[in-house]
Amino acid sequence: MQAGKHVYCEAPLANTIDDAKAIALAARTARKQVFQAGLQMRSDPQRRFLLDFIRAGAAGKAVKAHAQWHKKQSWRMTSPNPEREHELNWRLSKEISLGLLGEIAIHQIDALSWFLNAHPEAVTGFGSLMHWKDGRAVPDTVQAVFEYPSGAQLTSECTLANSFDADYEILYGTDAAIMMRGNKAWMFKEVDSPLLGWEVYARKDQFYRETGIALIANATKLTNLGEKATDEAAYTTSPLYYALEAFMINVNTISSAVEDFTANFAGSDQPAFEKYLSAIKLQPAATYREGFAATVLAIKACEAVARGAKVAPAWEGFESA
Amino acid sequence: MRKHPLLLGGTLVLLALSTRAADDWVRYNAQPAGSKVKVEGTSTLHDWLVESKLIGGYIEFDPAFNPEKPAPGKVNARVAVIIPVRQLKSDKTAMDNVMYDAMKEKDHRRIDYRLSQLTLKEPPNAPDAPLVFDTSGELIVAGVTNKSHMPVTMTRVDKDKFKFTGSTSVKMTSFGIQPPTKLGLFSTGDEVKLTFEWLTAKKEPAPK
Repeated sequence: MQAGKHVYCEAPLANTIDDAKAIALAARTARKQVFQAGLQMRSDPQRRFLLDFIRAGAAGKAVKAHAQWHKKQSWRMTSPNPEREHELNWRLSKEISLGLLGEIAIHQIDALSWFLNAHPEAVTGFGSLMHWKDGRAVPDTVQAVFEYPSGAQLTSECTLANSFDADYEILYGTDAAIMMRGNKAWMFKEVDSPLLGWEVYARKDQFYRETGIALIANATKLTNLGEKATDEAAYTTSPLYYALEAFMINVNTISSAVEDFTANFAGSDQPAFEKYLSAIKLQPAATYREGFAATVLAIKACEAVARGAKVAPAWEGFESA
Repeated sequence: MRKHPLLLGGTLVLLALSTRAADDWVRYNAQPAGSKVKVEGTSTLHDWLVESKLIGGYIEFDPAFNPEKPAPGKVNARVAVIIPVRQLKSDKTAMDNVMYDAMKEKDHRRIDYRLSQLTLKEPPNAPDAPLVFDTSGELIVAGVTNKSHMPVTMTRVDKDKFKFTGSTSVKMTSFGIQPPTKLGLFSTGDEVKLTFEWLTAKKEPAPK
């Protein structure tokens, strides 16, 4: 960033809090550049649609959340020579990698904290090496429980030893549970929940003994138009695509704004420049703040797993940072 | 390249003259905040609107012009206004790109305005009342220059600050811009309305 480059930084930003803080501070200082944390779900239009829906209270009061990621794979890459082996398989090294919670679950934990609109106060973790005993130091099966100020808890679990039921996130509310899988989502309503109206016409899918009401962006508009909501998800491109597209557009927007402002008002005061930049509308994307918060959570979850204890992330001063 | 000595000399004399003139004239520079330009148009789908808060440039008045006690009639002034095209934005990035293409933004990155004549219609009826001018000038969009006439209001907002407001309607085709269409989906109306608020502040004289 000090070299004047725009940065798309994969999550976690770093594997120590000091490094993550240094990155976040560099991003905050570099007002003429774009810094985007690689939390791609923040740019996903399907999740942004769900965010409004959930924050509007459609699921009632959030009581708990669950995130799962199951995939039977070794995570070990084949190396052409022994020298490259260690570098290629950095994810298996404790010194560099935050393991499954940091490399994978971080996206789900960030998205669910976003929906819950809160930072967890504490995290407890468990992890073991169950299957891939090939000399690696990071667990292949982990679980973490995050505690939110409201009392709600988020359980996050990942394994590389079994692939059943793949990956998803569920938010459980007093009126409904909302399940997000890939670019689709469903709502499972409680019998005593208030009738929203449109769900009568919405498309429904059967999950064993449960009926899921498909949550499709613009579904109510389609119903109004007399069109049937189809099986197709409204947004079929991956969240990563949307995140990178947002990054490219934002880079273009910010750099052209800086160039045009400087060309016309060179030498004008910094507050006027800041004011102009802050009024510019950008594509939705994770900032350094979200990136830093998610990284802190991943580091603390990893620490909780390693110590087998409850760990409290320190949020004091975070809002003003 | 070798320059003709006479031509070079001529340029220098002109340069010296213009610097001299600029020293006497009272200059108000565009301010980085407080301006707004709005372009409104129509289409077969819905009306559209793009906005920008970035208007550069300056206005210079003949020292004989006294904004406190202005006399009706012609006022000697020089105006250059610059609007960077790509800062004009709507809510939809895709539509903005259609507009930039139509305006040939890659080759003509700014909208320019140059004043040719400024006429005060009547004296203000109160000391701080806005002054209403008739203006003639040249509007340059997408590399095409057209004459432009519009009433412009000058309002004092501070001791050394004036805000200029006005609006005019122009046809895209008169600037060689083809109103954007998408076959069967929508077509854009040729006429657009341009409204602006331009904040300027008196330039401090350079320290001697």
